[in-house]
Amino acid sequence: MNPVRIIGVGSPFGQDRLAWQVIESLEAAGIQDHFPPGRLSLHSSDRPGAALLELMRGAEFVLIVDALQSGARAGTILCLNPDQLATTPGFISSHDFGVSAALELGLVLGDLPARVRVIAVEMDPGQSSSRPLPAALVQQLHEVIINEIKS
Amino acid sequence: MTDERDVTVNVPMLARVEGEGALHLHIQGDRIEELRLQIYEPPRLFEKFLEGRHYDEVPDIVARICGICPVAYQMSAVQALEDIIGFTPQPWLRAMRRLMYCGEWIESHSLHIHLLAAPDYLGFDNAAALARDYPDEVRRGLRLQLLGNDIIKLLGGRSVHPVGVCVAGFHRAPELSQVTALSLRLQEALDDAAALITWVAGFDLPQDEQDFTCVAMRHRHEYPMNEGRLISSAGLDIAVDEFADHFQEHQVPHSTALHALLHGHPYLVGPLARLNLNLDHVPPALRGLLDATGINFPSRNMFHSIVARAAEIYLAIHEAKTLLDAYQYPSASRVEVQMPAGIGYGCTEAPRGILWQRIAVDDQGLIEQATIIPPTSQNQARIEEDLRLSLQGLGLHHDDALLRLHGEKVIRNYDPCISCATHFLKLDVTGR
Repeated sequence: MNPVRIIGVGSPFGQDRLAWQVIESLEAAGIQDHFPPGRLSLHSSDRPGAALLELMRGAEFVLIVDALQSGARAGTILCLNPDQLATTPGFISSHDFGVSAALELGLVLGDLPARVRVIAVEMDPGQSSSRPLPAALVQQLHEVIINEIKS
Repeated sequence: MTDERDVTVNVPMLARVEGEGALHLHIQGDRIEELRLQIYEPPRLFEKFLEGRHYDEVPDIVARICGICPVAYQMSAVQALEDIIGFTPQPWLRAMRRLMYCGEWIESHSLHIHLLAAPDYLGFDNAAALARDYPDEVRRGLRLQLLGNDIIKLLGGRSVHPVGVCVAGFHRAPELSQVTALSLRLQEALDDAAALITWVAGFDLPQDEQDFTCVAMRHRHEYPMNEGRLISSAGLDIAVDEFADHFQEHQVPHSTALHALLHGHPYLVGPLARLNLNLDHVPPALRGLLDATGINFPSRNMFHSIVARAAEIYLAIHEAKTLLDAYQYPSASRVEVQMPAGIGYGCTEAPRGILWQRIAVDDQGLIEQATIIPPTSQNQARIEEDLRLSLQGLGLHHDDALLRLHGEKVIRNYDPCISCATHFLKLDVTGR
């Protein structure tokens, strides 16, 4: 059981694939090599619903990466606590039980890891999901993620 | 306020359903002038995606239609493709497909009961609010859902969009150690499922008897999942390949999902229809639990659907345990087959009801044409019929908020999977 987990929530199609692309970029950059073996793990999850709670179980710190559609400038990055999610407009959920509902349920049940942060990235409606994410955005996201883990 | 009310109620976006849809209701006086269940998710066009693809790709592509019921799409697809070959699954494969389906029923029904439907009957807005007062029940639901997911994962490699299914087999067989561990969890889960039946049967479920036709599969020896004939409470008894002779799909302007009718009339598919038509195949222990609820099955009250769902969770756990306890590692998990050109038919019982497919393959093994008729699409006309009857039964003089809540409850009873059907709710009431 890895104490630190980065979970990309999305889907294999369209702009909602963004978080999967972020996880792929972290893997390609060898982020796990910067931590002791078994310390950090990467996961891509396709709209897990309430199963998100299971994906987080046993972890000390979880970073959830998710695509955001709020009308902000494409590439805008928000770092949020679980209790800030419900009031954040525009979270994409292909099914009704999305990330915010799962985290709210986890909060009520006392089932969340000691620390959970959500990194929400404003998607670019004009960006094809078959193309790589802009290099500058990837670099910025890597810096944000590493800072979150270090803090 | 005048005696002649002219009111419009709109639920522009239905909550706690899978996917996106809306309800428009126009009431004039004591009459519903207009009622439209609008499904506005864009058509998913999977039937077209399949054209030109190799038949081997079909199970993985159709699994993408839905994150809640991917197994159903895979099972009906491989059945249709194997119908072309003339392949009959050997006992090991037949048992493992049934096991995988048990996992999907447990996962899908548990999600619906605890996170989507139970708040309706206990007076909460959502699952998190429900969890404040009923934490143990919600945890039980999550535990059951996880168990279902883990059964799917055992055979599919992962629970969402599983990848283990192929024509004439599975890509790999589960190890005995995995099977033993899961079997122990299933034994413990039977108690959870029994308590769940008692819990939901104790909800204040509306009394709303209606006359409707139930359609489900029927197997000579077992509760239907992967195979059987198609029967109805009105006497229909046909083979799967005769479906199109009796069921007609048609487009309605307000929905991106096709409506389906049986001999020109709405019909019900799903857990209540299945249980009503297959009570004699329910295990004795489950029959005892159902008798103890005081509900007389077969039932004509759609609000008993939640009890039928809980019953099917018990049945699926019982069945899965029986299958796993008899598990033997196979000499091969798949059979090599040759695909000829032809047309095949498949129909299996998805959590929400029958899922019918017709697939045509050319002499290169490529898909020429595919028709996929999911259960929510089939239930749409019945949902609209039920809404009219239920709202009139409730009384149209009630305020908009109550009409809206009751309408949403009626719709959620069907556990509509709009993403699948779009090929679903916002309430919009006008008039009075």
